[in-house]
Amino acid sequence: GQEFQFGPCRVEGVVLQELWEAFQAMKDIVQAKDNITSVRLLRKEVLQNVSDTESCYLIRALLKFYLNTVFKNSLDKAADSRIRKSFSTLANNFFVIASKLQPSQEKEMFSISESARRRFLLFQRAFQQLDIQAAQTKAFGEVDILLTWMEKFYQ
Amino acid sequence: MRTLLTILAAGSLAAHIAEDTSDLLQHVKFQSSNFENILTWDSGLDSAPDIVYSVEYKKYGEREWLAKEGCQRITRKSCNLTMETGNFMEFYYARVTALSAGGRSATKMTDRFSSLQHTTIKPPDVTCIPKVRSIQMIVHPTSTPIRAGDGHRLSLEDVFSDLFYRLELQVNHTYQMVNICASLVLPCLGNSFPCRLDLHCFK
Repeated sequence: GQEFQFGPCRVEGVVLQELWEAFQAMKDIVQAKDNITSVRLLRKEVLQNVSDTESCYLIRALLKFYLNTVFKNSLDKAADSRIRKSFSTLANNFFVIASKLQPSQEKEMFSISESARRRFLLFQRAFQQLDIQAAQTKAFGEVDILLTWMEKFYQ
Repeated sequence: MRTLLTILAAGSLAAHIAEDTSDLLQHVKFQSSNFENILTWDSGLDSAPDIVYSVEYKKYGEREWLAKEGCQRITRKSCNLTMETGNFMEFYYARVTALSAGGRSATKMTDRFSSLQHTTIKPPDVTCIPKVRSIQMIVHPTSTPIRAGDGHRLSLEDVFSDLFYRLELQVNHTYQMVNICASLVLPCLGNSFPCRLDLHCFK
């Protein structure tokens, strides 16, 4: 079957198509709530030209942020049962991927992990400059940007 | 008592100002096929004929709206934004402002648009060459308006590396006829595209 290969980090057992279908089911509703069209959290500087080795550090930081900050207490706001099901699919799969990622902590990897951390901080700072509700909605609506980037590492 | 009346008057005035302009402008959206991205909209049923429309667009994340040349103060209800939204990895917004002769106006914006996610794929062009004991089928690669860095136009095969074609032969023994259908199939590996596209059939 297919798996994610973020450099040395491999994640099996996740079907990317299911994540896409889960997001597509709620995309229009979530993106319509984001009326700040002049701000994009997952900008080019965050995701472009990420090396394979760096990708493991970056995806782990992003998924943990989504789980702990974006998805957190969003479930109870998802009144529509269809969205709740899609939301759970996304959150559960993000949890599975994040928990299987074990980036190397060796010293010689410090510069690479630092580069990934700087990218993540660009995303986090943009998030923190918005009102929390608007930021959660925007980050939620950008899951397709995240999935498109993750797809490059799905083989 | 006077305060109450003032509030009521102000309220009704406010309600009058925020009048309903849906008759001027509705359904502003992108229609995309083979990465040809057309912005379309409607006016209400009882809209006056003298409405003019102006189109702006921008990338998601940018502040400034850009006026689309050639679609300013037009009367038609569509505008080709293929070139302006040509990066299929990007996300865009467009908006239309309708202005009536009487000075009423309305502005409406599209949903977030990504041609990679939204475009529909047309069936391929096929040439059929009947031979004595066989039929030769030539499926022509479908070009798109998207240009690569060096300026050459990308084909659908360039954009979707895992795309393949399916040819179907439907033989009608009664009339001794063969119906050949060609379709273009995108395995649902990643994004949410339909897995199989329209058929292009001919006798």
